Amino acid sequence: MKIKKVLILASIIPLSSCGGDVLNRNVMAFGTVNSLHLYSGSEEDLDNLESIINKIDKLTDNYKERDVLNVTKINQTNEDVQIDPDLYEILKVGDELSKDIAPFSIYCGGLAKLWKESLNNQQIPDESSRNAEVEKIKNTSLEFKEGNVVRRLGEGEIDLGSLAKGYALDKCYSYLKEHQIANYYLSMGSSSNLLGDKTYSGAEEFEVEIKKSNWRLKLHNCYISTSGISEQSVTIDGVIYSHIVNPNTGKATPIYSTVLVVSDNGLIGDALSTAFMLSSLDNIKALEEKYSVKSLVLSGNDNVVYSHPDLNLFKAK
Amino acid sequence: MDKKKLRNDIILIASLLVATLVALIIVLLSKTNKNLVANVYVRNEIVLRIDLDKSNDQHFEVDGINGKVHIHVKDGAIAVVESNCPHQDCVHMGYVSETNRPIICAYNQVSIVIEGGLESNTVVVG
Repeated sequence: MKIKKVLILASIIPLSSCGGDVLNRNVMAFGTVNSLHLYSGSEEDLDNLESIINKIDKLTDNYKERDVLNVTKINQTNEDVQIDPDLYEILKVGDELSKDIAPFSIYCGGLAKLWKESLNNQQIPDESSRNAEVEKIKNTSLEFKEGNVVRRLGEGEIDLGSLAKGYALDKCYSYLKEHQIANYYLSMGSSSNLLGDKTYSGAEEFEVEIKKSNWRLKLHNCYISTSGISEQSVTIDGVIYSHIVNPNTGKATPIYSTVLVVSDNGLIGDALSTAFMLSSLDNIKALEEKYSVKSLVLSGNDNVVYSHPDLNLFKAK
Repeated sequence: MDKKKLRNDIILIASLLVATLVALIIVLLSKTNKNLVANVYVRNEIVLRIDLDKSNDQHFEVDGINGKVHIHVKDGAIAVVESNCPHQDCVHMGYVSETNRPIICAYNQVSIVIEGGLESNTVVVG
């Protein structure tokens, strides 16, 4: 009898575990490919996640006006503006982080554009222009009022590029949790990532490969935020300049080649990965503790400058 | 034990095992017989859809925003083989056939994303 029950169970289990297909969608937003991989759920879930991503992309765009009241509009005025609750939230958190994390600011849009334009012409912006932008950053803040109303104080330009993808992932995570979808992999241009509980094949952890590096990590149930100089840097007279600008000095010379932050909050992880690129190791460790994150810092030819002791770091075979 | 009952048990168990085997074969076949398709984007637009199974050893070229990007298909995988971008990250990706390993040339805003492929346990970040 016992053997019969075991044999019946042994044949039913494989039948019931014939897994479904991966639900895949690629969404063009934030100027890049954003890949959604759900290991359960439906096409409707992909539709809803795509809507979330597109909405955050439009709201946080500081380069052009879109069909919603977005950052570009806020940057054009110093009057009260009533905005979407999501945009209000990301601005509120961004403003707080700009005060709490150095060097980080959401008001360095003007400085970032100055560097971008100059580097596209293989030039460095002159010191007076950089200093003028730094002054604007110092003198800019946001006033938050009831009813999702904000007012920009000062002339610094808001730029949410270092937060937007992480925030979009936070909203996606809330949706997935609400709909009890536990296994997935979401990637916003590969710089902001969200790993679910298990991989498609049922493995407990994902193997995380870092671009242009032989180092690997094993992770799951977390956000991975990365900042680096590999894709958007320019070398002038032997000095590497990047898109990551220092709001305090006006310079764009990150200290490291790649920073990776593992966190339980996408927006915070993204902000910290940007700030860490410009920070001393002491500052990195202090912020790790404050925000309960773990980081990996690389420089030059794949050298590990620092790795949080709890990260499962190993070399690729 | 009653011989008739034993025979019935054996028939039941054998039937279940055969059904399981058939189901597994069907599932495996459905996963491996999917056509691999690579979507090539420039900015937000798909400019090329390449059936990787039918395009073996074919070369393609797309106009990125800063220059041409040369693509090659080999043995069901796709690669950027030449680009004028300064860092060559897209070229260093090599040949890819998995859905969760897009090839991105940020300089030219060209992306290659695969549909219908295997879902790897490895994810690429950075």
